[in-house]
Amino acid sequence: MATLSLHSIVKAFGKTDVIKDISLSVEDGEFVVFVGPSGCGKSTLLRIIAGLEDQTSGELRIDGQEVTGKEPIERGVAMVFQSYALYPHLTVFDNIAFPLRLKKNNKQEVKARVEAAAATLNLTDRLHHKPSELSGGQRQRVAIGRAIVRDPKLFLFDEPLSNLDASLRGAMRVELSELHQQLKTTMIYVTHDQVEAMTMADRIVVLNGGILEQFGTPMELYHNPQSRFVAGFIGQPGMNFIPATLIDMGAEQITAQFAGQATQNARVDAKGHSTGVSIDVGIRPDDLKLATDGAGFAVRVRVLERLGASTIVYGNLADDTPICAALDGLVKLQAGDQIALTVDPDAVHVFDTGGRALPRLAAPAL
Amino acid sequence: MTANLHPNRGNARVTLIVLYAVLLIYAVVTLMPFIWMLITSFKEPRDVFKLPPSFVPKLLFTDHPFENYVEIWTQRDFVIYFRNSAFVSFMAAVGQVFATSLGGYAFARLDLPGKNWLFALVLVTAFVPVEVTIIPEFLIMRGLGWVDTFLPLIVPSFLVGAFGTFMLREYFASLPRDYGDAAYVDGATPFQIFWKVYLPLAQPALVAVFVIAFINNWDELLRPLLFLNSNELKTVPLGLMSFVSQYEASWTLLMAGSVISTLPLIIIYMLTQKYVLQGFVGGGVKG
Ligand SMILES: Nc1ncnc2c1ncn2[C@@H]1O[C@H](COP(=O)(O)OP(=O)(O)OP(=O)(O)O)[C@@H](O)[C@H]1O
Ligand SMILES: [Mg+2]
Repeated sequence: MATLSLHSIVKAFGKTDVIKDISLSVEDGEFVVFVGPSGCGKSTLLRIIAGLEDQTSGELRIDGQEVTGKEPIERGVAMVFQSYALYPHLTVFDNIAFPLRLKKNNKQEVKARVEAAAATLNLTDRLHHKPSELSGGQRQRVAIGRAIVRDPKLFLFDEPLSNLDASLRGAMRVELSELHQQLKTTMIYVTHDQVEAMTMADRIVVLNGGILEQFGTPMELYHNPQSRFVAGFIGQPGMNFIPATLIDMGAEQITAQFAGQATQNARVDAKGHSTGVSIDVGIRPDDLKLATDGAGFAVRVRVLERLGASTIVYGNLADDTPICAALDGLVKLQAGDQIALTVDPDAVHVFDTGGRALPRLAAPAL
Repeated sequence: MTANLHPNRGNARVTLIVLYAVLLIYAVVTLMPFIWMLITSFKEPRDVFKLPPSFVPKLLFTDHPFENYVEIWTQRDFVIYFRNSAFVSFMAAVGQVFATSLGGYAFARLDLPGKNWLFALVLVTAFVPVEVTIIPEFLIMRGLGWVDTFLPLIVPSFLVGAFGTFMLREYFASLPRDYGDAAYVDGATPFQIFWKVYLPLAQPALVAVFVIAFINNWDELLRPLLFLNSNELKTVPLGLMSFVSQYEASWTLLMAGSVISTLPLIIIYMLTQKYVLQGFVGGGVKG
């Protein structure tokens, strides 16, 4: 159980800043996910927290204590690696016991704690096998076991599920969430998979190019993304971005024009902007509907993906801007059809040319 | 169709035949001296230089087939030489494993300023001919009062070894860094990381270094010749030399001794072949 806070953390390798001035604080018992594209600095940030790398500047506190320069063991952190890093020459038992034996615990206690951890993780009948004799999911659990026997203040996970196949990953996601509910220990979890982030996190840190884009609950990130990057990263399928021009501004809503003559209202606050500027209109595929009464904008259907419950429609606007919509599963369409789509102005996101979101006036209450 | 899929099948077969022929010739050429040695060890002295040479191990067809072996083992001091060689080679090989595992690990994994220069320096020592260093080496050993003891043959192996350091550095570098990171996070000291994690994983390379050092020291003639005087300290190569001296030339005894002295090397190599190969191939350890 611990709080964690980062103040202006910077990390440079040689001359390149990989982590650029990141500050955030994590509450006691929270499950926080660092998510971002490959190379954005997630692992580096995690390794700084672990004590495997030193930050170039900035302060790092665990439970209010400055821990810069302290060994990982003094920080009370345990880490699960993407590669699992199970020692191949040791059995499952010895792998899990490894951290305990470093501290000269007595034999009975080691045995009791290893067996307890193994029971929690369903590994009891595998204790005397070598890692090479285990399945991917079991290796994963051994790595977690080696972390939980230590009873750490803070768990760090670096993409722990990325080596598992899709169905196992789903199952392990649930197991990890349950483990967190059971242990109530603060956990930091790194992934590049936004589904993992959305499903497991209490709060999500979105990183991009070493910069903290946004820190919030999954629903905040989904409904109130503060930048085009976050809006595009969170949600599946990804948000549509349509280059547009701001043609009318009211107190309650604005009007954007795109793809030639199409117009769309959006309930956002455009304070500080003026008509005529370029903007990006952001629409989630789920918010698009088939227009019935001649309203909406014209879309030519290119490909249909029928998933059963929904049908994903890939099409193009009049000026060939690609657009994706998630429509009803049984919708009667085929490739080449000419359709019209509408969206509720309440659901439309607008981004300025710098990629910043204009504040929404009608976002759902969270 | 098949012909089109394998247009080179005929050529491949020819290549294979040529390859085997060349390898066969090579095998015969390298094995010939050993076979000759084996045959001669079962001959009577007067048949050794008979012309035309005979390939018949004549003693095998008498009632005292192992006469030469019995003689070196019972009437000469070969047992002592053999024991001395075994001891010196074993200790020197242990020394090499000790020194080069520490050195190789440090060069592979520790952050030391200037370590690449230092490593280059260690490698360079492998290219300095013995003739250049042997006299200073002798003077040092004499200065230490170590002449006519085993120490000059053992102690240097505990200090440095270019080949082993190179080999183990490569091997340690090929093992995943995550193991060390994981152990460090769990509270292991740098020495514990070396001792409990990486050293056990380097076992094949350690065995390879041990075997190679053992063989080299077993075969060593120059240093024992320089540093050892007493008969009871002599090693096998010195003992073999004494069979062919100014006063006598017992070729049959020499060959019997040579056969015996080759046996341990063959046995060690056969027992450890798997590891030695793995040691050379690198640390493809599966997690
Ligand atoms: N030891 C290092 N020396 C130099 N550059 C490094 C080092 N470690 C990481 N980097 C660089 O820092 C950047 C961030 O790396 P990091 O491993 O943190 O990314 P990541 O977000 O974890 O990516 P991934 O999802 O691929 O694991 C990358 O551009 C990487 O090349
Ligand atoms: Mg990473």
